[in-house]
Amino acid sequence: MRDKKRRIEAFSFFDYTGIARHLCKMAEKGWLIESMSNFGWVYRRIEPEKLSFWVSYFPKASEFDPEPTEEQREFHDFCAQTGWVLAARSAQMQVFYNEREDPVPLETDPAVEVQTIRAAARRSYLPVWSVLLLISMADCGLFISRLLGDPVGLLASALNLFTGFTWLLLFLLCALELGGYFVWSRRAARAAERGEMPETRSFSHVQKGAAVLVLLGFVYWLLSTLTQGSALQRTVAVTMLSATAGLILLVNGCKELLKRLKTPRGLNRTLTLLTSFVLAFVLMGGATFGILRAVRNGSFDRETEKESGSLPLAIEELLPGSYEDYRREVRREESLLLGQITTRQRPGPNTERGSEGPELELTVTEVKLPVLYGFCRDSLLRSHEDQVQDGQLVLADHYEPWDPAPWRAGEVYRLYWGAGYLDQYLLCYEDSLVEIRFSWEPTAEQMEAVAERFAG
Amino acid sequence: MPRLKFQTLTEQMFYTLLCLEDERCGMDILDRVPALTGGRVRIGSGTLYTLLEQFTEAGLIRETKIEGRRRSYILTEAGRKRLEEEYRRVCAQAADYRAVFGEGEST
Repeated sequence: MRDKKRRIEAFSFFDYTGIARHLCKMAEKGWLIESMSNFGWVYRRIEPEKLSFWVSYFPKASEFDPEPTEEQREFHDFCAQTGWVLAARSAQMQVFYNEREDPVPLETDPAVEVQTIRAAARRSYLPVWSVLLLISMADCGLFISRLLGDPVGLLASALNLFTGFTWLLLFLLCALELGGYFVWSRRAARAAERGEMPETRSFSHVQKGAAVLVLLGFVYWLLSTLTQGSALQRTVAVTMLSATAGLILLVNGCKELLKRLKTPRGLNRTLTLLTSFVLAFVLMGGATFGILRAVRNGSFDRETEKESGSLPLAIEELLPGSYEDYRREVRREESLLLGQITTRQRPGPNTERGSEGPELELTVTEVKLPVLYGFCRDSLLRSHEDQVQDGQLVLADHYEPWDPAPWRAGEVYRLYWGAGYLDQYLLCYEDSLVEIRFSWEPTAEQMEAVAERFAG
Repeated sequence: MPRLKFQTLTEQMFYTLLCLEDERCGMDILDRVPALTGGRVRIGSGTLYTLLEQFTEAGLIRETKIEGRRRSYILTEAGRKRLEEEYRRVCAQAADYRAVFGEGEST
């Protein structure tokens, strides 16, 4: 039978009543809180009993303290005098339990209690959540601007969807957390004037729900990258994940080691911050450098060649002759909403035909969610827009409706650029949108070959 | 409008200061207040710790000695004056009560 167990708990810093209630229930089930950290709360087995819990705040404490300061110990002695035993502490938060039946509350003056919690919140909780709010807001802004600029590219990428979704959730959580704190703070201050201390409103379920959603999104992204991504995408994902995990473990390890070595709080904070900057630079920079170097050295070329076998449409299917010496570029993105494959076949440096040889570019967007079809089509049409200055047309660049019959498509658009039509088309099939660019004028047979491939 | 600090004393503040008429350490105060009030007033450890810190900062009490982790405090002149003002305020309240309800109602 296990004597200890670790649980991931999600409580707001100021949710003292929610935490105390939860710990009471755990004690009744035979588990007493022993330690609290970013990696979960640890409980030790006890005889199930009814204990009173109190969450108190010691504003001068820091998570970098190697051990409780003398002042903190003095505070703990005060608490012991009235039967309150320290069970666990995490930075400013101090959790006490009391075995007495009707113990004197640890805080008996609501005004003083509110002041103490506010002072503790100002020291670390508010700055950390405010910074997180600003970062997540900036990232949500970037996500939205990308969504407006290249919605199809964004929605087709599992990574972009996952990160955008995560930042949005984080932003909402930060807003809820900080909003919740300020609402509580005002209510508590008013109640304290009447000599009352209000119950806190717990966001625990929302926080746990958000964590589960992020975890599911992460698993989906990881699985889709590992099973469907290119070798480069898989390498980037695994390298960056390893670097991030390594960074978190090493920085936290550094902080804990310094605490064990009884390093003073200020020195620990400085060294840990320094370590995090250096390690972030070394690990992330190193990983990025390694990947870029591998790409430059052609380590992923073979994979590109292998994947080219599954091109949705190859130039060989439209034109006679061999194109084995051609460069083939393939980029795939896949999300729950869209799938997108972009291919390009063009003459390489040693191609027999020389640089004047024919080229074929293709982007196939598979729309998995029918409701997105019109949105995707319109955004692809909008990706080409005339350049107008002072009401005068400077450069024509737009799609115009074209005869869909030869392509056997529902709708077809042809790109008008400058002073004439280019051989670039947007073909709208039942559940896919094909943007195709030829470096030559396609014949009726070639259009039929394209239709054969995409019209089903 | 923010209220000035310690302009009026809560019951907890009043009894903490009152106990420090004589030199006492924090833990003595925790026992002294219920004894003094027949158990009517009890001060929480957290509240007392914060109050001692705030009173020291405000110059209402001063630290007299430290034995290990036991700090002793005593009321300063400013503290005594503040306590006296609070006493007068409470007395004035009691007088107002008596003026309304009469002496017999006050017991």
